[in-house]
Amino acid sequence: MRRRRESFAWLARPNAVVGLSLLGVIGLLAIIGAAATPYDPLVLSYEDRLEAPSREHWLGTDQFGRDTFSRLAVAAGTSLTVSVLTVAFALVTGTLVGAVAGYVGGWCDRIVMMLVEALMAFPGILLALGIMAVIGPRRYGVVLALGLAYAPNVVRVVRGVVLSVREKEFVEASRALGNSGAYTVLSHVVPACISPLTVIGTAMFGGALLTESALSFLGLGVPPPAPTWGGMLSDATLYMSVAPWLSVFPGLAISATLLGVNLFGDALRDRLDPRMRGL
Amino acid sequence: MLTYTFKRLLMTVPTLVIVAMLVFALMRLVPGDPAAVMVGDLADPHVLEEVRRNLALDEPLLVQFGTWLGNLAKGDLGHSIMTGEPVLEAMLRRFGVTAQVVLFSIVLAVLVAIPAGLLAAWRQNTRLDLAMMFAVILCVSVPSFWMGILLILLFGVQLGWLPTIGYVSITEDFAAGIRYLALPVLALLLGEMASLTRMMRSSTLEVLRLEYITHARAKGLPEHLVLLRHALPNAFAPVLTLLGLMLGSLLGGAVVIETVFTLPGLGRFLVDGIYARDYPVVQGTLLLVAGLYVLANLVVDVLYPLFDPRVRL
Repeated sequence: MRRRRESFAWLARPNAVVGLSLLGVIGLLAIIGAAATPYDPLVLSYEDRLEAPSREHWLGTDQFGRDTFSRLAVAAGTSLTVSVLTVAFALVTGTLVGAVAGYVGGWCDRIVMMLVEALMAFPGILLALGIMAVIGPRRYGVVLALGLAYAPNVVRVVRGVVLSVREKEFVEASRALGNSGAYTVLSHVVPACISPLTVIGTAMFGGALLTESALSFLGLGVPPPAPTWGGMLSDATLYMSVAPWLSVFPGLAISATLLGVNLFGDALRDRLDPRMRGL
Repeated sequence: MLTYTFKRLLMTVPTLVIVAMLVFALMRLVPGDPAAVMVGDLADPHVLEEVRRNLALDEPLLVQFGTWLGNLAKGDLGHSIMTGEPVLEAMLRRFGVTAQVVLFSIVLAVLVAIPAGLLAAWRQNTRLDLAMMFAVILCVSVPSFWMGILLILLFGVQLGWLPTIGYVSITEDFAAGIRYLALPVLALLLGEMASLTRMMRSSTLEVLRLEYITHARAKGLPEHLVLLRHALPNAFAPVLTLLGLMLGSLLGGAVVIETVFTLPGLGRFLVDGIYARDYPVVQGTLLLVAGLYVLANLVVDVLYPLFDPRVRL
């Protein structure tokens, strides 16, 4: 009982508390966006164009009279979904490829690593832009583009862990018991990757969210009319002198999410990798 | 040293070839006739025929790749569909703008982050250190394009101190050029400076624990000499690696920042190319940026043993 409490004590550290609260607020925003927003985020209303924040429209309205708060809430859901799916895609494909490369070794490993090296030669957003250029702006295209940009990191980490445990006795024991190679990798080798993967998964989530916003800022992410934080910022730049609040709230939402992820990620890293504590 | 450099150089070749192969494959995934993709749908049939021959489209895929690689080696990246000018020339001209933004950002980030990180580590767990680390995590969390928008709002729209869009070359008019570069560089810089400061702090902390530092202090060396002469050189090596990686995120960040500030740089060129389905431009910029990134990391790796003699390949 006591041990259990101890293993969750890190969640009470200030970084973890603030980080999780921020993520909680954004999560709540996304739930509001999915359940019920005060106004329809897509309905245009020319009488209400570019209104300043007021009691009716808490965060004002945009150039088409759409309610900023409602759009922000719906966009939260979009951003979080795209980022979660991206991380899931990168983790699954990266783990499979990395585990196979590390376990099989030889030529297979060398070819995979050369490919990984080459993919990592593209700054993440550039690779994603290149892929979006080919497939065109699509909601799930973004997941594919970002996932492919982030998977090489996962391959590298998983392969490294697999190489370091491959020759350990417990792996040999599993093989000696007659288990297949695939079973051994999945049930004895992959679990050793969980703790490093949690750390880079958190970092990737932040990176994916940031890159997704940048892509939609450039008009190459989730296509309109679906509201996105990046897309809202991009629209807002046209009205900076008449409606400066439009440029503030979506950016605040992105930064709050990233701050939450970074704080939580730091706390998590301290917990899982105590050597890094305080560094 | 020479063998190390040579080996590292040799390792770069397959990476560059695969980078080229990836870009080639990506462009072939574009739906439609590859020749039409490269010259646009409205091109004259004769031109189309010539490009088809130039790309060796009747040959097997491997031969096509070889031909394409040969053209690449000659510097022939095709012509822009938008403007008709050779892609390589257009890219190099625009690269000047991006290079200025990125170089100013790196130099300023290093100049601030190295002393800041050293100071934070030296004063570890004091109020100063905590305040700096708070500022770091805040800066890391603000996307550079939003920072750019906020800077435009403050300095351009509200105060009217600095121009917010457009560009003047610093070779033509230095003072005006700097005024145009100030905000984009600042926007791009803050996040990178913050992560560099954090890296410098943690690597200094690791060095300060070592016995030779205790020894240096025990023999009565003044604290600033301990830090500057003994801690700094060893703490710098890991930061050097981060600098190489940072170039990637700066080049990526420049893509968005150039759009915010309408700078005529490489990133803006790529984004315009994507909007206009100008695939020769997309292909060329992807190749150039990836190539630059690989070469920069090669330089970092080659320089690394100078700072950390323990490293041998």
